[in-house]
Amino acid sequence: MAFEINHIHLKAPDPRRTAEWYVEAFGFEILSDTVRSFGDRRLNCQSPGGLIVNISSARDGEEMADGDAGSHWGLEHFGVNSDDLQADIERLAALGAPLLEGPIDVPGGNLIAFVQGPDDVRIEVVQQR
Amino acid sequence: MGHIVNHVHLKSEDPGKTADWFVKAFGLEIRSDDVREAGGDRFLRCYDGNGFNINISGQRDKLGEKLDAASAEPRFGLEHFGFDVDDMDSELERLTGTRRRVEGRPDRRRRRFEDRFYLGPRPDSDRAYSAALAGN
Repeated sequence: MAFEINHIHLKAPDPRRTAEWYVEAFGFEILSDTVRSFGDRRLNCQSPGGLIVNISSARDGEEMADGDAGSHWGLEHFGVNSDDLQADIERLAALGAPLLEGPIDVPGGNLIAFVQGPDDVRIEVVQQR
Repeated sequence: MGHIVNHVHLKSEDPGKTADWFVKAFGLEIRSDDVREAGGDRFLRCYDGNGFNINISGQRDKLGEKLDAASAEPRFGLEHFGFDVDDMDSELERLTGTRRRVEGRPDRRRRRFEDRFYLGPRPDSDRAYSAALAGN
């Protein structure tokens, strides 16, 4: 039996600000906002569709490397559905998330683009067809 | 439709091998395995037990893509993803048996286990992924 994804986790110097950006940009709901025993502030968010996205700061004594919104090996990006890709590209740019790549018309597939979200997160915006 | 988070995407030098590892480790189902026309990259579409989509693909050589190194270390931005487990101890034993590296200890203070778990086809290289296991 397959395991289920529990959450994806974003780390941010100012997790509240980042969470509020996702609320405005993609309609996330902030479920909780606490300081954990590890010393980090952690916001538990629910994205439309139900996937949990945790957003937290560094834990006590934790040294954090920078994010990477460029294309890279490993866990690279997550994708978000869009009803109107071009409109969302413009809307997200106005919210401070510049276009990185696209729009790309995938042969036989979707219309996609990549934007740079807060804390150098690479986000794929997907208009399904 | 709304802005549903519809997938996470892993990039791998050998996407077939990586997908096979996730099949073995977490029971993911491989639904498709194709070479994409535009990028020339091998692209495997996988699903977790709840039907959530995890894509695993290679470098888009036909587009001249040169991927930066990965990192499984703590970092800002998109850092890791987590799987639900029923029994943290046995899963850690099973997964570390595949020679993956574990950081820290499960947090049992609130009767909730959470840990960070580094995994990937080659744990000592920079082609690693960071994931958390969360259980009740």
